[in-house]
Amino acid sequence: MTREIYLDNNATTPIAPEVVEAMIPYLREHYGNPSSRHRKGLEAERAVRQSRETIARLLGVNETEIIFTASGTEGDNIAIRGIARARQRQGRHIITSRVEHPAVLETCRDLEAEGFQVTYLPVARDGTLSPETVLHALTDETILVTLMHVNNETGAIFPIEEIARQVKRTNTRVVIHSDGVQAVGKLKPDLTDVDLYTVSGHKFHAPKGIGALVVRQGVHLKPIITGGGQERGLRSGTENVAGIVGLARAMELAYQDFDARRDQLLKLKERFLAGLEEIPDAHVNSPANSVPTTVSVAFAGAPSEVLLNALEAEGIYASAGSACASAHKSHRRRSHVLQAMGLEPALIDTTIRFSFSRYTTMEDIDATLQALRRALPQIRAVARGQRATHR
Amino acid sequence: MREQLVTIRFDEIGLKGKNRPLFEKRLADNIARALHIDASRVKRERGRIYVYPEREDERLLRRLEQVFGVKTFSPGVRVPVAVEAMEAEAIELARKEVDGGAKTFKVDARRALKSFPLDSMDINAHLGRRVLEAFPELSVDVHQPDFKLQVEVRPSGIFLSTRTYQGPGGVPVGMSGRALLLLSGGIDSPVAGWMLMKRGLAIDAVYFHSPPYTGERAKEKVLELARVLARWKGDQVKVYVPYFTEIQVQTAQHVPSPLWTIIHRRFMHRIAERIAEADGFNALATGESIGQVASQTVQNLQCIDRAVRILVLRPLTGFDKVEIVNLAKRIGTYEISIQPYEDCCTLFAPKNPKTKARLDHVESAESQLPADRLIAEAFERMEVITVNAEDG
Repeated sequence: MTREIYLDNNATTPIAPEVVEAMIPYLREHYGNPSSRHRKGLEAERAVRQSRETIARLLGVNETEIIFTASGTEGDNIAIRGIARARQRQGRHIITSRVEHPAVLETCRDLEAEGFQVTYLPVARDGTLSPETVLHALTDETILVTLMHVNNETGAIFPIEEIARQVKRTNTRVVIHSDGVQAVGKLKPDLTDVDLYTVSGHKFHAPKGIGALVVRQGVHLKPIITGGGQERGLRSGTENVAGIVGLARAMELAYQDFDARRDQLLKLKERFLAGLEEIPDAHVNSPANSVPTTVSVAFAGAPSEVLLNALEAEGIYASAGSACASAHKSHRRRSHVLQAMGLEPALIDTTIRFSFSRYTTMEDIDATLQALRRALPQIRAVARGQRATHR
Repeated sequence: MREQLVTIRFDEIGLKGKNRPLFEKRLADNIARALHIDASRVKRERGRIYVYPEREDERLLRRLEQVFGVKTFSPGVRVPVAVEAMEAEAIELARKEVDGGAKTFKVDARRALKSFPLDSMDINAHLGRRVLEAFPELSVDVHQPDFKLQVEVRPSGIFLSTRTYQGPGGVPVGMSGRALLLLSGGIDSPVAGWMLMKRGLAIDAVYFHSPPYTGERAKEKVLELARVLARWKGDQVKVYVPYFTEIQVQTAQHVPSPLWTIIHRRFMHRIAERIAEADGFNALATGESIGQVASQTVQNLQCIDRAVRILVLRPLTGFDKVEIVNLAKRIGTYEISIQPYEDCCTLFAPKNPKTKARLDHVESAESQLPADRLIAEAFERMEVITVNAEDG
């Protein structure tokens, strides 16, 4: 098997060669600790400062507003727990949605156990969320609204800029956090009214183990990681210098020729969607208002796990929209995102998520469609046969 | 001259005539292989095996705990046959125990060399006194001592040790022939393989793969189980992976669903029998038990058995699920087995399996399938993977 078509870029992306190049000097010769007073430390500190400036410029914020983290999950925790702890005297109500990443959902559940009230907003059938829904949930006790920018399973976009503006207009004291892990590189976020924004490197061709949290001026967080006081005391621990350099380089690449690349990705998506229309009983779960890199689709009658195995045998890597495709439900849970959208179990269990990147080609799309057309009839026949004999 | 060694004891009960030297030789060979040491470092001598490791190594002891045939073992020291050397070493060993916090001890001596001036009782008394002189804080406790100083006087030297560990017992792997284990990703089949290895069978495995209905992860899980079995075997385990998809697809199309499982298993046994004949296995082994799931009844097992001529060993038939689970935990396969990758796609698992199948019904349903072609195809696309104990 020589061919490799990687369509699981929402899980993680390959590191861009340019990013590797940029990092190598910081893995080899510039190994200093940015906190050291000598020249080795200075080299490292300079690299961190320049990277911070690059990232700040690309996100349209001040460089003092960038905190480097080890992952999206860590960024979400620092933001949500940091606000909860800092503001608990002001109020104990948090608003989020039912379709958030576990990094947010589990953190909110944990805070509930500590006595916070959390509202988990429902989403529309297409996975979208309106600013009005958020406004209705606001109370005098609300201290934090935390909503993802782009959904990892469907690619649905939340109008986070608009939500932030309207919430701020209603109550300026409410803090707005957004998990932007799936948005960076795919959208140009406008953080004017957003207080906290989570970034993860490995979703846009930087390595795993590096991320950032935007903390806007004047937003006070209680640190959850204490130590040497790095990153404005919000994320103590020696800086991952090579990772930081890689993160900045990856973000530069992501916003270089952004519009041209976006057009290209849209063409890929259109081609894929057109191809899916030819396949019987393929239901696209991703809404019209979604990023061009994500297509969630249910192939009714074909358990997603089996179809994924068949695709993998042809060198095509995607993932299940839901972890569960087996008849024994005990081990697994169905996707909470697709459930929140009101999708019936038969569709959830047959959903596959394809996620593209700048390295995806038209040929990849065509080969994937071809593989789907080849694999589906037999899998469906077998599954149908099983259902029929049980009737 | 003072030498570090491990004394290995094995059960002699049931060993008669020519079997005994065979047992000892096999056990010595297996120990050398399991410990990755040269055979010349494993010595056999009158009902004992002595291992002379190159250096002290805790891992060696952990590996001995997994060598079938080993009943107990004691890391210790051999000194020349002389009272002074014996005393000096006894004090040395006691010092280590005292440093480790021991408060009480006893001496347990055996004299196999009758020309030695002190008999067992004398040695007990003598060494007890010497140790007490050296460590006045110690006291003797003959019932529950913190450590037991074991002394064996033999023509080849005096052996002293303070620690004894349990081996798994049983018969050295390979003494009893070879069996081919039908290994799924579940809890039972690895335990069945372990039990037969304990009785001296060398196990290799066959796993039935049904892409795309079973995935790479399910296969990987089976290989991981085989790796654990390889540690107990003290040698590599071969895993035969025939292609099973077409058999399941055809069965689903041509046979009523209550008979699917039985027919799948008949095919599995047939394929395994062919491998056994080709590669010199004496028996098949399965993790089937009785009454555990609806399809595992004596009637169904008989229907499965009738598909082959080869002996099929089912060591778990008398076990409860709890007993099997406990064994799996002890062996080290349980945590792997419970990972949620289906061993066999549930699409092909009937919801209402027949509990008391009749052979004539099974045979007539099966005659709808092109058995020879299906089995030939299973072999054409078979993969054979060798798993080493040390990988991963």
